[in-house]
Amino acid sequence: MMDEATIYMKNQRRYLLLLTGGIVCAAALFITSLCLGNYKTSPVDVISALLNPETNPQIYMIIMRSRLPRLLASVLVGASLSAAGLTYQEIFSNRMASPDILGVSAGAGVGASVSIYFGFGFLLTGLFSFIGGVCAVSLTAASSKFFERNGGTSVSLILAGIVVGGLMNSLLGLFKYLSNDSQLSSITFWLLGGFYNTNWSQVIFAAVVIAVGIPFLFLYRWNIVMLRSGDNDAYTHGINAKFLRKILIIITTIMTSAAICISGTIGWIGLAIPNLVKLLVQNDGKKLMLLSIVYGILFTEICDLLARSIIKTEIPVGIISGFIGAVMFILVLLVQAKRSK
Amino acid sequence: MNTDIIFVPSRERAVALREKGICALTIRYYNPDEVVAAAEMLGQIFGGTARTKSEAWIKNFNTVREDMSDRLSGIAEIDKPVAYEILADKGRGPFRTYYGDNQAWLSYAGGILATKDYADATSQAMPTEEAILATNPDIIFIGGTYATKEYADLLDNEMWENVTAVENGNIFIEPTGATAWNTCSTNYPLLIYYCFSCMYPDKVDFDMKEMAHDFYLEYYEIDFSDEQLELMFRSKAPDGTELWTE
Repeated sequence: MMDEATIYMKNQRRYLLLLTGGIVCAAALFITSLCLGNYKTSPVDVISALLNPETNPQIYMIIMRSRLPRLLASVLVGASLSAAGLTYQEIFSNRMASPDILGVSAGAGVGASVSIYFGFGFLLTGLFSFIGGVCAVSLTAASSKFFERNGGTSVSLILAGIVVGGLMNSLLGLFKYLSNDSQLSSITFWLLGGFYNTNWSQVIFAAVVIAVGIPFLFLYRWNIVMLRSGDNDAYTHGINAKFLRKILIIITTIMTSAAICISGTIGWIGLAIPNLVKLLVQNDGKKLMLLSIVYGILFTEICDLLARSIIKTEIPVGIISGFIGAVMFILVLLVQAKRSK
Repeated sequence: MNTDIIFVPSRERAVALREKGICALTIRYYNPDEVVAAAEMLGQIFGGTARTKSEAWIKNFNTVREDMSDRLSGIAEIDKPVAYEILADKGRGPFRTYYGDNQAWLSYAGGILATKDYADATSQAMPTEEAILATNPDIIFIGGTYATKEYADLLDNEMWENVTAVENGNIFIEPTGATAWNTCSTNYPLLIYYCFSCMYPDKVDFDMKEMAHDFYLEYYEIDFSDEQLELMFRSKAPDGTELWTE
């Protein structure tokens, strides 16, 4: 029978292996994806173009204007949604919680639909979706006061989120109904999610937002994990649970909205990845945040690569993440059920 | 409404209306053959001069296709230019185009479709920007209300500056007459000759503006002036302003 120190060391090695492996795979996939695409390029072409753009200006342009922005976007979105998903699950002590739970995805969808309906360009569509997501969660927070019962703030927020999400989906349905064929096609394609039109402005915008949010979530990862034990336990550890919860909701909402505004709605990252990570490190709180971020990035990169490689045309990333995420989540649940027996 | 007949684009809708006792017919024209079928059907429905014009137009279109076939008979496939058509629209960029048999007319004019490998593409399942660039078209046509804006934007677009068509200045705006020539319409004969004249300028033995004038006079009974024809070929409004708005 192993003593506690041995178990600890074993778990630490396992964690480091998972973390290192995840980082190496994500980095390797990033570099590989830079060389893959419809415009045939070899690794030598890519390196040569990057070092000396004059040798092949077209390849340089494709990498700098198309591939690199979308790869960076997939990194930002993967990191953001998985970190936000983990945070939501800890805040609400609910493993089924995800960034969508407070209506941010539905609100972002309405924002984007408004922009597309009125014929605004792609950049404005991203901005409108960001505003839509933030407004939806603000509405959720404001209306949650009507639902406050003995279940406390968390339950009231989830209830309000369901109501606001339903309202946003109805608005979305209205815009779809009013749209012509071309607009409807654009709205549908946006809702399915993808990185096909990502440009540097969007990447920089999302990076600034997410670069502020993720370090904060990482620094407060211990406090976040303490929330799962309940407000009273958190208070005994010197954590103002209500205040922290509010701050976390604000930060994760802004991060999620920033991610959605550059990629559209890509599901399952915020739900499946944190659950997968919890399975891998047996729910050890201090290891969850960084691992979720790394595997969120890896998952999104895989989905993006498959989305533009399986067939000649591009499949929306949301479709790929839906298939893989759902299967992965089922497997996680099966393994957890087996372990609990 | 007190209508004698309703034209709808989908068969299901037409059937549903007929079941309610409303005379409804499906009419769609997403490729040249469908335009011919639609013209024939409309000529039969309306009769009189409409029928006469419809038959004359169909005969003319078939003559155009035969003429093009003769003109292109001595040109090997490998010598034909790769042609890409942009359907210019507000905020859509250079990647909106027709796919599959929607662009059959381009083949009649002697072009190799840049998007021939994406014949199954739809308005949603589209190739990426990279995929379009990889086709490296020799010639680019821009049609639609936003054609002149897209033309200017394309020349400013760094992603496209190394494309053969852009490097060689082979970018042409499709005219806009009674309708934009790039839409599936009765303008097909003019569009085919126009694109042929752009792709094979050394083989042109006709005057496009004179051809357009005679076409609109015969089928639309509109006598365009030289100035109006000039604006048409520049895809401008009759008063000389741009067709597109911000």
